[in-house]
Amino acid sequence: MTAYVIRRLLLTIPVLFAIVTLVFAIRPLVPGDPVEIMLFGQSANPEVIANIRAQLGLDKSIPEQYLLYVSNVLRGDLGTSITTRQPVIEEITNRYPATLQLAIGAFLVSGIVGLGSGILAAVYKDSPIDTVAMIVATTGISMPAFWFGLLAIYLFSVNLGWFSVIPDGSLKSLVLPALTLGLIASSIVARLVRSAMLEVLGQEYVQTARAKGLTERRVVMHHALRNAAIPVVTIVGLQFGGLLTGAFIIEAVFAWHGIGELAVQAFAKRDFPMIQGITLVVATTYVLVNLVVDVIYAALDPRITYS
Amino acid sequence: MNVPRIVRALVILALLLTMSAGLTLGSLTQPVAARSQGEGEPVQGGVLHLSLGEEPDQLDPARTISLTASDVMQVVYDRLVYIDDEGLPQPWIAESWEISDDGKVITFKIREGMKFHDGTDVDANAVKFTYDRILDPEMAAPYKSFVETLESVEAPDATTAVFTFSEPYAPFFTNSTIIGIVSPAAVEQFGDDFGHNPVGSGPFMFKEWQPGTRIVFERFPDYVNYREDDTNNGPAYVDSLEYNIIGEAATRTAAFESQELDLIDVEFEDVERFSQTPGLTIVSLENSNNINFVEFSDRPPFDNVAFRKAINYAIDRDAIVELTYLGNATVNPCPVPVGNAAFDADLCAEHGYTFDPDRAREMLAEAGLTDGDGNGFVEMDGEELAVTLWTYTGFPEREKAVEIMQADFNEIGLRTDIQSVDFGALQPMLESGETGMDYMRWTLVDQSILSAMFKSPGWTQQTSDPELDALLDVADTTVDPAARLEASHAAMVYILDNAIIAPIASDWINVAAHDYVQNYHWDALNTPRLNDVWLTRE
Amino acid sequence: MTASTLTTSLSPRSTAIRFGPLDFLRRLFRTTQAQIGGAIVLLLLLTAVFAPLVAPYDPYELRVGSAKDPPSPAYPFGTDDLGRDMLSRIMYGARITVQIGTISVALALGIGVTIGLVAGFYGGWIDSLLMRFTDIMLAFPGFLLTLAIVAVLGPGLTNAMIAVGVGAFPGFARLVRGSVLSIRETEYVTAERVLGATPTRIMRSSILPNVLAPIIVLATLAFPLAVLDAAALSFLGLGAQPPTPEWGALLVDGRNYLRTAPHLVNIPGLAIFITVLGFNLIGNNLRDVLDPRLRAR
Repeated sequence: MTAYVIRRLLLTIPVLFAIVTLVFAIRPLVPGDPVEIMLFGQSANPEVIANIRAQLGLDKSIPEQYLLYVSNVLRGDLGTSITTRQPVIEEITNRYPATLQLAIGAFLVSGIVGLGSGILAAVYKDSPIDTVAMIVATTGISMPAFWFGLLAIYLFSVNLGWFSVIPDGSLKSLVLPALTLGLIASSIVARLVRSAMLEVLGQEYVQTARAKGLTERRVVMHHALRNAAIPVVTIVGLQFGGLLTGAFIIEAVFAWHGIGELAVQAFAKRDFPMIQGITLVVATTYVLVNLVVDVIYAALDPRITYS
Repeated sequence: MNVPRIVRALVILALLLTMSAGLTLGSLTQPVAARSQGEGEPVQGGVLHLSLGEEPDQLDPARTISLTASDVMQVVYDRLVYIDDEGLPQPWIAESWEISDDGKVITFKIREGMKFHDGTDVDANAVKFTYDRILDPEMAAPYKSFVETLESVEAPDATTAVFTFSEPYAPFFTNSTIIGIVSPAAVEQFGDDFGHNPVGSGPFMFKEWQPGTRIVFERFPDYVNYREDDTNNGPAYVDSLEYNIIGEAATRTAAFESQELDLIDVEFEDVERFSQTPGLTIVSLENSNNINFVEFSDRPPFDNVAFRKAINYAIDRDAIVELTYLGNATVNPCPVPVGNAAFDADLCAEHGYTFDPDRAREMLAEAGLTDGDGNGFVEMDGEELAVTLWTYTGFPEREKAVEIMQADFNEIGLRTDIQSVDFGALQPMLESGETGMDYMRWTLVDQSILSAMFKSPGWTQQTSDPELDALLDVADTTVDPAARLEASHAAMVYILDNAIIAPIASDWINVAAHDYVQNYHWDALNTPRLNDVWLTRE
Repeated sequence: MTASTLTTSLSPRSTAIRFGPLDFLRRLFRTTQAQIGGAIVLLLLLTAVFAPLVAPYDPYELRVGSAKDPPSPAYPFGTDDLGRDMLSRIMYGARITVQIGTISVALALGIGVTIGLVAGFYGGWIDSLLMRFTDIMLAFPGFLLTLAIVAVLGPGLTNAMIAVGVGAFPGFARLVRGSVLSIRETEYVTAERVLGATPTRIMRSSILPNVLAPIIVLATLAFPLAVLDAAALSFLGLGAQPPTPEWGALLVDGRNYLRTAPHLVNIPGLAIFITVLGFNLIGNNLRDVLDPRLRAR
């Protein structure tokens, strides 16, 4: 097991390195002169332009820029944002907790809603309950996030006045964005729980448990659910990685000041150091979450061998 | 607030290009400064909740170029002078000034007794300190472009600041209003963090900055307001200002409706609804200094005056105003904003263009463009002609306006493609000489907007008309207001007769406020005067 | 979210379709969900194909006098902010939606299936190389990869489709490789190899049909995600350009009218929602039908 974890960790290193390389490549590939974007139509004297180019390292050759970039990244320096003139790493660190909060909130929502409707659908397979539960579960992921969020704001915040539109940092202001994002994610969870439960419910030991005269509730909760948990945990874990980053539009709509909102602004303004920084941090997070999920999965499932 | 970044950047550019001999700004028109309510006795107290579409980078005039920062800095810093409704500089931190005969030295007398928020004195040394930071090459201050020919500032004593220029610099007074005077002691104290801990002598003191979320200011209790265009001479009425950072417009609107924001830059779509909603008010600045127009590349077929006239006749300007600005704009036949001193409806009616598709078709034919193969679209040199109309992204009304124009052009048989481009990509594209036309918007208070827009080589590097340059030179170097106006009009007639651009409309500035927001208004440079605002919220 | 998040839910143990087309369709449309989904998708396809015939008006024709008219007998879906008929715009938009889904998924399929087949079939260093590459692409979670590609290519509908397609390929690659691995060593394939069949032939005749089922399921589920991703790109101003009646663009253009002319935002919103729902319902049922573990019951 330890060997497996170590091997898995070591495998992560080249992946991370490749990510840094790809992220670096974004800048030379993005059209438009970054200095022009920075000055935004203002005519600056050549001296100022040269200074800015030097500041951004644009006066060097691409290989030199690459080495510089890698060494900066290794030292935790992701450059300076073109638009806010703040260190990118600082901006991201400022916003990371908000995104984490939202991800955890949405994770809980998707877990509860997804598990609930998935179990219901599996237990009452092919009944109207199954149909309704699955259609409801599919609804979340089928709504354009932007429309979903906007309708939620108008209904619950403006018309009903239950929540404030501007997040005030309280737990209450997390409810609406987390619910919206969570409902979107719960669709996939519900599907998986249903499939996993159906598979487990069809197996012999569950049939045996039924035959022994256990109540259906006990069969479902004790026997089936526990065995269905393995694939579900994996998926839910992966979902968490996705949630951490999949919240771009939800964050923008709810004025939730996380990384997603930062990314939306950065892409809209072609703030390339910021785009690179966010891409790098998010991809790294995703890789690490996947790593953790893999390890948990390995620990949970005795069928996996670690050769 | 929230003037598109490009517009303000172009103002800078426009001002830079305006190099004239005299130091008189010339006459400006009087924008109608509409106000919200403002009846009854002012009430002290309360929080004014405002919004920003993006987070400002730094609130340090020596470091930022952000327009959002410039808006917020209005409340923190006072300036040397302000510009009144006549377009003339008036005393603020500077009590008076003298201009040398050659126009190269301005000596300001600095007012005594003003204090920064940290208790230190506002004196000539602080003025020198502020401008030295702008001039310092080490700082690479973007605002340096605003003081182009300024060489040095000296402070021989606490009440005298001497500004020396290498060349006379006409736009200095207007431009100086963007540069707030900073507290030297605070800059010393905070160093590189000054931009996040701004200290000036303005009506509001910096209190708190929650990154990405909000910036809070509170009333400066010792404030004395020397501006005569304001009604409140003492400290601000409201206790504090809260700027909430909300990127998505629809979310800002929702927050305004749920009374979490007291005031927003209202979307055109909501103006009518809010004006009919009890408890809400729309405050409009109709006589604005904005102008929207179509400009052309210098390549065929755009180099043909008949073709440019065809474009001018083809555009249904009323439709654009009605459908895209939803009536919140004034159709403008002149090549200057409706709020500009040089604006002259009669002159432009005589030389300008109105919607006339038949004339447009005639002009196309005159330009040698005909539909030979009968497919409904004209050809050029035997080949199907398709022209491109660009605009920049991020402003729905612009994208809608180009859709209308596309339909108008297709109607007269001119096949048109439209394309929205990020501004950062548009300018280099225009400069590189891509053939097409673009829908642009500029804002500038002074008549020098003509030179900024039309003098060679132009901001797109595609303008070269010696005859027009000569006319503009006259306008720029004429100090006498009446004569200067005449010279501007001469240039405008030339511009219209040659259809150098297609002017479309001047859009209004609209703010939606809850009724309890009293006495919200703008100054002559379209800056909100928040020191005057009070709240009557229960 | 892209197709990549879905792959994990598809067991590599899923194997080929082993029943006739009629039987297959009967099984697929056995449930209410699938029937609803099927009806929606059919409607979408018919609308897309026959838009020019059934649309009551020219979707680009401006009517200055009747902007933002609410739904009425003359304009069943109302008119937009420039007085264009919403119903006609939605109908033409259906073509674009089908285009977006088809092209993006085709692109993802093309790249993903090729990589997956080659990697799975040849194994060894080719497999390692291709799969490391795929893993790295997978490390950019869904929409972020799409955004990065659009940042490089620039905004526009075509670029959006490319970005969405390329953003979704890693899921297909991983799925196909997994399936190929499980089939490669079966007696049938071994026999073919012994008989001297070329790798291309083995891939086409034996392996591809056997991995078809999971690919179909994934493609069906990737289609609606592509539609949503394209709409999200429109929200960021990086998708379709005006006056293209792409649904996401219509939705975004209508956002400021939520209070004054709600049909401008809700009709395109519903159009996207119903379409995506339809594909998801079918996709989910396809999976149930094609997944042998569930079918066994």
